[in-house]
Amino acid sequence: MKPDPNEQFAALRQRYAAQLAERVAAILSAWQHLEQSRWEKSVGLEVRQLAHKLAGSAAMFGFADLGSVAREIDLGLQAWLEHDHLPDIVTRQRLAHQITLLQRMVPQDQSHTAEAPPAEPSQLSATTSSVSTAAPAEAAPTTTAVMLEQELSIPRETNKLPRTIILVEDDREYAHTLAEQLRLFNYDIHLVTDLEGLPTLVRAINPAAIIMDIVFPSGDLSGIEAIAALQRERTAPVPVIYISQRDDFNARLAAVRSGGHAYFAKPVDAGQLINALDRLTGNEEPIPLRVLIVDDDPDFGNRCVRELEVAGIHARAITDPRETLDHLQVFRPDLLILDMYMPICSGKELASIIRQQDRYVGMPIVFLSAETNRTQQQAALSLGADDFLAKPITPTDLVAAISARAVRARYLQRFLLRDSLTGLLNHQAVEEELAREFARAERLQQPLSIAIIDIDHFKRVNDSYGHLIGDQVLRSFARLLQQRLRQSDLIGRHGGEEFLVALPNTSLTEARTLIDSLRSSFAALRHYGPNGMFNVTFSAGIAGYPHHRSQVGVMQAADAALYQAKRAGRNRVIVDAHRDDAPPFVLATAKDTATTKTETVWRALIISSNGIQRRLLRQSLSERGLMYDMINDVEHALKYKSPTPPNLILVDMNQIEGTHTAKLVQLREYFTNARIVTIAPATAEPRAATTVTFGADDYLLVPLAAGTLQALLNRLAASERSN
Amino acid sequence: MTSLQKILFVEDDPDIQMVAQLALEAVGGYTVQMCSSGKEALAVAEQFAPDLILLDVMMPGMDGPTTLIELRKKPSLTQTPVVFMTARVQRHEIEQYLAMGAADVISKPFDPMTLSAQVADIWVKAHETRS
Repeated sequence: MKPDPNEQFAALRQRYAAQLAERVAAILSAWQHLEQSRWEKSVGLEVRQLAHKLAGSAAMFGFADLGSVAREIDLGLQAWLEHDHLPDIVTRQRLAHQITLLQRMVPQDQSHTAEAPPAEPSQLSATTSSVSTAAPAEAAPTTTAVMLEQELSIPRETNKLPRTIILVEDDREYAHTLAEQLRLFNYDIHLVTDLEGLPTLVRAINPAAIIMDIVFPSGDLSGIEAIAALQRERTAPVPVIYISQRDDFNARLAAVRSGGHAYFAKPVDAGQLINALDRLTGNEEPIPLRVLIVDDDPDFGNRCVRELEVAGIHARAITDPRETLDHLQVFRPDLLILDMYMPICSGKELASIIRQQDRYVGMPIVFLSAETNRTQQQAALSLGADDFLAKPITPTDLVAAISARAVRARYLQRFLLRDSLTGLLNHQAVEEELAREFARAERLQQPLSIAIIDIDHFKRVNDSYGHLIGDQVLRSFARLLQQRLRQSDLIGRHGGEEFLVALPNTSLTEARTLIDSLRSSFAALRHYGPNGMFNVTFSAGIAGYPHHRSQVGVMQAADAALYQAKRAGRNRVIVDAHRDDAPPFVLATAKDTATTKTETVWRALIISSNGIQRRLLRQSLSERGLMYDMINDVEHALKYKSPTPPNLILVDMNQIEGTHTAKLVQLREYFTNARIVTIAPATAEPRAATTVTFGADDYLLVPLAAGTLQALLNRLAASERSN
Repeated sequence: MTSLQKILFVEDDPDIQMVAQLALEAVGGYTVQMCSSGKEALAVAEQFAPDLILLDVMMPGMDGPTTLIELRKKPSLTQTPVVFMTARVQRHEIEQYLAMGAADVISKPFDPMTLSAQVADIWVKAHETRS
């Protein structure tokens, strides 16, 4: 059978995604090197080459946004490297910001996908159900939940075509203003000021859409004529949005006839234009439907999962009905498939249990069973099931019956959870989701940052321009948030002009950088009112877990920080400085380690030819009573044989740095079960930290300060357990 | 008019090579010869006798334009359509590439599902203009 290219592409995409973090880390490290070297040209070339490569390939693997940021870095360095203009401070700052942005755009759970593909559902349900029957019941739900969380966080980037837009506008000043606005929304804008050469450019760039002015010096409708000619050449028409001073019927008719998709009279409202662009370029990504199957027959469940997954539906099967509620909460399906007859409780009983909870009243439940008795089927339906499907069922029928219902359920759910003006989560939904994120952060021991954002002087906007314009401002802001934040981030309209953003696995510092970049983007955004353009700003307060250990505590702290920001003059982001006396993460894990009984027995191998380094390490290691051996260099280490292989490699930074980075990989391959730690002089800490991005597990600075060795061992032991 | 069968693909990035190979072979059904540098392309081009050459502009060592000039010196390759691939499409660059004899310019990143169709279009156009 001929392999399906789609599947092959998917496999390639996965491989690429797995390496993405590494590539971005390489750019970051080259960038840091560039700044340290005070902008040495050879280092600049390296940064540019890395960015250029990323720009060329990322979009093909479904990371279009990341690719376009990489391209901006590439272009940002071009002027310097090709024409010798040393970048000014603004350009440097922008580059630094783009580099930060790249880090953020790397899907964070890709390492999971690369190393361990999501557990087979069969394994998942089999292990969890056996645990819950054999062991005390408390153990089961948490493990299930954690496993599910990890799987859940994988799908983030979907395959998107590059969102490059060609803007054709002969008024240069206006064109630049508009392009600037659109770029704030992550569109890559190519600006063209005349019609000449447009067809070649379109062919070469293959834009997601064209924004076209209508009136040009060559004629009052020449923009439309150019498009009409362009579309005749193509098999698939390019989406076109017209912008024009003309608002008469003839112009609009000509626009429609040329295959235009939208028409805006100038001055164009950027928010509306973005809406149209999003629609035309398919920028509103579909999120796959989720279906949970409860069936005591694991084979049947797994077969359903496979069939649904083929149809692009995200499905999970469990065999123990008692786990249903946990899975509903964590997996959050759009639809539930229940087996009629199961050993512990029947599908009908299970349906009643689920329906007793308010939040699941709207959840479609479909029964699936070999039941042919009409009365039985009727009874099931009367208990709140939405449909009854008879086994055996063909894949096509299954998918057809499920997807229409799930789509409708999600659509209805939207009305319950979403704010009608902005489409963001509403107050109640955002509070609920936040509780979930909070629990998750605690469970996974990850930071969670929360920002409360309030539009400055919003009442004035409403008073001076009217509510319609005010609403438009809120919508633009909501759109900006959606565009710039990750899909896993939580965005809600908390009420009025107040918004809430929750950023999982994001430190306060990262959150500040991000929200502040949103702040400057929003401040730069122009809104159109009856008396011309105006700008609006916002203030934000940020606080987070684990600095505050409760959801209420975080919210109060963020609120207080917001208040401070307002008092300090608005248009600023303030991070909560007050912290609970809760210990930070590293200490918390270290404490846990001390209390656990199973302490790892470390057998170290020191790879160093530096006599002083060796002596210092030997001293510390024997003081701790650790076993160790020494060897001069990596080459010899790669031939090292011992009946008890080392599980801790301490390697001199000089041997694995720079051009020797590959040796790190070789060490990793040879000592499969060992942790690799870089040894470096205390003065070279930044360089030592860089080796971690290239694959070392940690680093150790010599001479050793008191307690650092123990802290390192604790860290390693803690990560060992979580692996 | 013969048909488009053999494509020489010159690109230093192994990721793009992989996708392109898949896109041109599995989707388009063409025979593809991969080269990682201009030098390598010069070494194999005559023997492979491609119907069309896809050439990355920015490569370490010999860049795309230089490679094109060198390829054209080989008697059997003076007429072979050469298409540039580049991530930085600016109009003056496109014009420059077309002026030096490129059949067309394709932007990187390209869409793997439509690359074959795009290449086929370019090939047909190149032959129309010649005849």
